[in-house]
Amino acid sequence: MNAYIEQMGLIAPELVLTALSLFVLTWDLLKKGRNSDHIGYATLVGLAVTGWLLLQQWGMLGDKGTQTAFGMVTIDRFGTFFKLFTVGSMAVVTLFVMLDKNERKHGIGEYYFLLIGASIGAFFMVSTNNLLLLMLGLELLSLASYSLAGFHKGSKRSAEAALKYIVFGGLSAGVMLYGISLLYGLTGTLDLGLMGHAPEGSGAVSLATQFDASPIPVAIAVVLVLAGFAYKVSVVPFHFWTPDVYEGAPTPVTTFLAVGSKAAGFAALLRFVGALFLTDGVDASIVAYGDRIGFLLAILAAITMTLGNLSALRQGSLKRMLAYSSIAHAGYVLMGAASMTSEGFAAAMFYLAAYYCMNLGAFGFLIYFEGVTGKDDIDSLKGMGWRHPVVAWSMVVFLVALTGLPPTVGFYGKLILFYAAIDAGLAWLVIIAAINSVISLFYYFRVAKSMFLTEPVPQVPMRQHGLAGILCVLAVVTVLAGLGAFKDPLRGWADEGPASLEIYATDAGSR
Amino acid sequence: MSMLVWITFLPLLGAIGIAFLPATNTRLLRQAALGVTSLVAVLGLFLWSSFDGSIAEPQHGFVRDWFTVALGAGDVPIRFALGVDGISILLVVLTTILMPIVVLSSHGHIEHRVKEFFVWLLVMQAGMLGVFLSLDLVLFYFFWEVSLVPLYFIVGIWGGERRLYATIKFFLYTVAGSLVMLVGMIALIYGLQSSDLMDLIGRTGELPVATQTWIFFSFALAFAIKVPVLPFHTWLADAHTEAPTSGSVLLAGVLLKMGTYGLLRFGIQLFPGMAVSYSSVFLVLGALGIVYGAFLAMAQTDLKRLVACSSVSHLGFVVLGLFALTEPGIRGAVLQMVNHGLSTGLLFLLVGMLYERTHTRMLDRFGGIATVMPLYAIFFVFTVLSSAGLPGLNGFVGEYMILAGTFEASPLWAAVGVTGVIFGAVYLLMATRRVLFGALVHDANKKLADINAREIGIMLPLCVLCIWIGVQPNTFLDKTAGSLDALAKRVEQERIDQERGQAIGRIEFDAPSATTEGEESR
Amino acid sequence: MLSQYGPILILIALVLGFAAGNLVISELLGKKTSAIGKADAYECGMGSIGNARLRLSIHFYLVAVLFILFDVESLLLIPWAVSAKFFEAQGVGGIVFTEIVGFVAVLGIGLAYVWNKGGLSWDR
Repeated sequence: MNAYIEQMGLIAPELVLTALSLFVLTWDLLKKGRNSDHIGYATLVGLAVTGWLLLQQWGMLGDKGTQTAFGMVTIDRFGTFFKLFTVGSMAVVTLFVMLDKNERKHGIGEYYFLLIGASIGAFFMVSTNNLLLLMLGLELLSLASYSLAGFHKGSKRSAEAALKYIVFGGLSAGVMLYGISLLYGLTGTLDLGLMGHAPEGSGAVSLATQFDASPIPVAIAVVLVLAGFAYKVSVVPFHFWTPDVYEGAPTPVTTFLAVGSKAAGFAALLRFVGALFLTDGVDASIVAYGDRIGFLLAILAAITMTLGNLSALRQGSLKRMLAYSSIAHAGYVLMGAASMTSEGFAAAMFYLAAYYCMNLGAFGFLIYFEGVTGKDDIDSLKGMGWRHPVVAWSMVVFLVALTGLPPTVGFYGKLILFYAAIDAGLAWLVIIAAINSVISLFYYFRVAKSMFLTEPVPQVPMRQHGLAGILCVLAVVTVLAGLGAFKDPLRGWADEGPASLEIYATDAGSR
Repeated sequence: MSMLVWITFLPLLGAIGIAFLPATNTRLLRQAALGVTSLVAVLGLFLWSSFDGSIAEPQHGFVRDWFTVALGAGDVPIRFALGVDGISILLVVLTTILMPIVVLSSHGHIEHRVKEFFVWLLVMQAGMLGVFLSLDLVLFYFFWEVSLVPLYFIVGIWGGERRLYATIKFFLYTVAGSLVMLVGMIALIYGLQSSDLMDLIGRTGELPVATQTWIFFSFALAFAIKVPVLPFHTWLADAHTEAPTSGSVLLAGVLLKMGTYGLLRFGIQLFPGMAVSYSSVFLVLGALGIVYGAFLAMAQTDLKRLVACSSVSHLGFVVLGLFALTEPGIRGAVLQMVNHGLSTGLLFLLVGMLYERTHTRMLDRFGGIATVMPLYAIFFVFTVLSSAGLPGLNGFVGEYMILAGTFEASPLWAAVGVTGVIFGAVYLLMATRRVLFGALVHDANKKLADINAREIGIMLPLCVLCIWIGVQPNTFLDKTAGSLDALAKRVEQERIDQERGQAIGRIEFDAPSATTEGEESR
Repeated sequence: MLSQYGPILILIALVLGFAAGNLVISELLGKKTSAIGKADAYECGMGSIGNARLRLSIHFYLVAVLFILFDVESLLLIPWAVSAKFFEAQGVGGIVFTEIVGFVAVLGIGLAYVWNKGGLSWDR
């Protein structure tokens, strides 16, 4: 019985979040939508508690993960890493919601409720080896996101965004479920670990055995599941929903979609690929196949970053530009997955962490800017740099980071990604990524150009000190995390992630 | 803590400090910027006096662990390593002493957003000094990019009419180059499991020849764009023309030297074998750059653009000298880097002063200026003669050494280079005639005020240096002797090895590369 | 491996073939008559009245969805009740009971939310 409670203790962060979501909902009911700021503060407190619990958990976890809830939930440093950042980004998004002047009129309690619900989904998605729970987590995250995308009930664009999102999401969830059902049919288990390596007496057949017997069904199943993930992280050719949804959704929601949701998708993708092809003890015959999946991912990465960047070039709206840029960044992160090594995975994780910082900042800037001008096109930014210097200079830091130039965390992340990819023999992909960085420079610095190099147009001077403060802090973090590479806990954390997945401590040459 | 750390980070600290000063008090801002840069200049002079030119190895080293990357067989430490040797000492000191002059020269034309200007200027100085001082590949790249963003804003905010076009072009060109370099750099670090420059020098031969070749060219491309070598020169004319005077001075004086310095450090010193194999490519590009740049300059109607194009021509000399791969050639090229910084810096200052008075840079709007601005005319003629390579002034020494060195390696390209000297004299003197002499046809020019004490004060130190180098070049050459002699010897050895290798069927080259290839395909 | 799926493929082919075959045969052999009645939605029985595209009140869907939600979720109580004895024998009866109470509480909050927001009142 005590063991049982102990096991429940492992999912304490999730339980706290669930309780928080119910609390927020009930409080909002009792208050009948008044005093919305208090609900925001309550959310922040709840998130802080969750974060604290996660940090405790991180400290207690060893190199290896542990399972709970009858093997359904896997608690390891890999998952906790992503959970920590989900909580962090959630807290920032909550602050954005609280400070965003455009969000005041709508049912704010449900807003927080849905955000928390989405992060519960993300939590389960990143911490399970079981495809069923993974699917449930993904659906919880998706359903909450659909409703959030359509949260501005009166706005046509918001409704359109929600509808597009749900249609695309439904389709890709179906595709993914089909893949999962095939995998289940082939192996007789939903556990990724058993699929990778099925010991005698487990009642399951390892994927490698099935692959030896007949590779085509295995290939179809794996690719179908990957397609589901590709949708979630908006990898070409499953990216079509991204710009429209990002543009139509309320900006704080877009922030969450671009940051929290995408990172969770990547976490699940990395875990899936890692468990099937790279974990210690995976049967040898499938490892070679994993390399081919890696190659597939590499091609997808190349196409994704190129298409994302080229499309971003032509955007007049900052929000759409950031949407395409987030597609391009999915391509960069995919490089790490494509290198199919623990270094590559660690690099992808680190880059995602960097991506949290810089994209939260960029979207925060967008919220600030929408609050000031009520528009989201780059041309209306004219002279912003001289009227709102703190925010604008922070934005420059984020732009520099997004481009991947020093001294920011974006550079450092890209550097590690490039290292990992070259290490895995993907020099061509690195060259494509480098060219892409140049392309991205062009449109990122259009923003800087608009803010600083053109003469100011008259604007209503409105200052939001809170938002400016957050942006400033994020900018400082972006720079310090890039400079502080020498004593950087982040690097260490990211390195421990793949270790807890028991990805080979590789060198590429051994394969 | 090493002096180099102070030199590199003092400007950065200054930038942060200035960022907190009140934006309205421009006088205070100027004084603060001048104070910081002067302090760095003093440090630079200290460095100069304590630097022993006879030693080949880097001096004043400062090494700390920075971070590690897991790569290939093991963890590669990336270190925060600074040091100065004969290759970099002249450029470091040039950067430190040019900076107060740049700050002073900003007086006339930087009148709005003064604070931001100085912040960026100082950040850029830190970046440039870091580039010259870093002895670690990743650190070098770090500073390389740090020095890039400030110029975007300096040209973009305080530039001329077509500044937006110029900034974007400049930015895209350089970043494209540097990202290719980053890929090559990572491949190099991966291949040799080290990012320590001093360790890598001498070990690049361990890589397979094909790998060496593409890494060499990935580096060379980035630097060739920065210099700029012939086919990549178009950004320079625009950036120079649109930049504010202080920006132009900095661009010509220091920033372009990052390219030639890179070619020397990462092209020749790091890959002597490749430099020997492909020296002819750069000789051709250098010689063509000299002639083509000169022709471009002759065709210009805009005085500032003319000076910008002359930069292409002058830097062609530097490239020519470097890739002659002979001792006088390399030493001359390093000296010529400084010369170009001084002469072209002076020219840009002069153009800027004229522009502030007349608000035009078109050659046909001038004429007869010498009659109203006699002092200005003196400085102008002096600078033009220095730039054209009059014996007794700095340009002559550098060009002579380069041509002598090139003649040793390839008489043909030396001959082509010599025509560049002639063309250089032609366009410079032509410009002088059209600006200074002839009849004073434009009424607006009749009331021009001559240069004031501040402007003379800015130019005088540079002129003194010009004469000093022209009369007593050994003061400067001696500082570079140790490192450059060692480098020239190594390159020579490499050339001999290669010739012998070719004579006996490249056995020496194939044998080690076969084993490394074996290791690669583990 | 793939051959295991052979029978399924044959079955699919048969099914499709049967359906398509019937259509083709009736098209070829059948007698063709055309009358007004043929075009009707219902060939036999009452003549249809009004449009098939009936617009239902949005509340209908809301209530339907809410019904399904709560219905399916309350269904979980049945398997729980069946296995409760087993858990009690295992000595975790208290915990399992707490869990189901929590579950019902969540449902209760949901119901309260729906009620409060007017989801259950028809004429609003």
